[in-house]
Amino acid sequence: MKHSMPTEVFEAILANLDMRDLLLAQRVSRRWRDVITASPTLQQKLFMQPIPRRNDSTTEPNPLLESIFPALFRQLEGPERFGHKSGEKVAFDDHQLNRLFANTNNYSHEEERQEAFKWLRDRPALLRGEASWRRMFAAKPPPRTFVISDEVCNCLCHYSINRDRGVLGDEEPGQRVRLGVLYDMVISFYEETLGGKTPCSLDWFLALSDSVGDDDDEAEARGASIGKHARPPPAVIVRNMTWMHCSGDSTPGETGVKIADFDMKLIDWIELETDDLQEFNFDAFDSDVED
Amino acid sequence: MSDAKLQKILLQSNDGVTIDVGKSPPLDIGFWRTPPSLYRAVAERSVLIRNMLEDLGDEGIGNQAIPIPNVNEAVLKKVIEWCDHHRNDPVQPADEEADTRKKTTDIEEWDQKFMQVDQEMLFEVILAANYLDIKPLLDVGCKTVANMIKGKSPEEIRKTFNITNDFTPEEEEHIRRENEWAEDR
Repeated sequence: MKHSMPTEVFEAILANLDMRDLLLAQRVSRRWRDVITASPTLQQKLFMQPIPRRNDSTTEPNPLLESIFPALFRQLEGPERFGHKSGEKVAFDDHQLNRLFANTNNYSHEEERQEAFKWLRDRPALLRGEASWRRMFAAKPPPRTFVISDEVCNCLCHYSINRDRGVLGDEEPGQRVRLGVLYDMVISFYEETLGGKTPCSLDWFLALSDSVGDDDDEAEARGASIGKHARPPPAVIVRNMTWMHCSGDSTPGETGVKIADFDMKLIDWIELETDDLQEFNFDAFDSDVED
Repeated sequence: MSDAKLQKILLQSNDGVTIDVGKSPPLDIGFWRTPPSLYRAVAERSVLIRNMLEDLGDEGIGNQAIPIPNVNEAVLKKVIEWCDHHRNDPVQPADEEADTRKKTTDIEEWDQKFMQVDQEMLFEVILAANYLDIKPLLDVGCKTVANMIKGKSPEEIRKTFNITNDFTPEEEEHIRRENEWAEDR
């Protein structure tokens, strides 16, 4: 490429490339790397810099990661969507589109999960710490709401819930959950619980409530029908479910199996006061909890 | 089209050649064909020229040639050829944000053939389109170059565009390790 090519023209050329070509183009020369690294447009295209959320913006999942992690990045349908027992009512329905990024869930599908992780282990380039996908966001604009939920239940469906939640800052691009952080949470959980006797699962949702094709009237009608339950904003939700053996009617206690290794400082989040939670309707996720 | 729109416009390239349609030699470079006329509608594909014409007015221009100091004769003729072919295209919507979403790398057939020139000319046309502010032509040029990059390894890209690898081996290895996961296709 000629050195006289003005940066804005060079950017316009590169903006026509897909994510994969753009990542590889960084290795051509310093000029190429510098243009790609410094351009907000190209960084947004790579899901590495968040685009600002506007009222009319739709959420677009990261297409490259879907193709790279076929075993982990899949969309679940119907009852399987939320993994657990078929009778469980979890009102995620308000989310038009739920992407499951990783699911170490469904111990009934143990083979499938072993397969998924074996596939990953055979790909050292993916697993190394400096791999650039770890700096990417799962969607653009990246959800600001982040929920970590440890839940324990027994066979009578008595729950104990311990939940951390936060809304991530809007100003600093770093204050969003990047994929590397999410991935580490899931993997450390998986390693920890592998072969353990307590059946447990970890769901990882990218809940995109304002996704493409959402019908406004319909959404409004739905909002009205569930009364105070407004539609939750797009969120990243990590939910750990642990099953205890039946021990009577009592609410199960702590099991010690938690998404514990996650360093909260990594995402610099803002803990919310109860009043601030109006924005996010957790009841939508808790509809089956007994008093 | 009013009579004013049919006024002849003269452009002067940076190598001093006045491009006056009636007098330019026919079919002297490549598949350049002499346009029947260089009218306002053609020249106005360029936002730069359109603004200039508006500022000066018909009387201000008279029979003077408009100097185009950044573009040589061959490139200017090539650009005019494109403008002539596309003179009746609808004007692009001003909303660039919405535009980028629709962007594909599809190029219409006539433009593909138009862009089948050597790299030097391709880049000159892109630079001229940028200078003259002819966005649709700039887009076609950028897409053409992007199509030459797609699917190639960094080494193949360097070879295609004659680019020197100025990374140190360590730097290149670092970037390679970061993005190796994306190399499997």
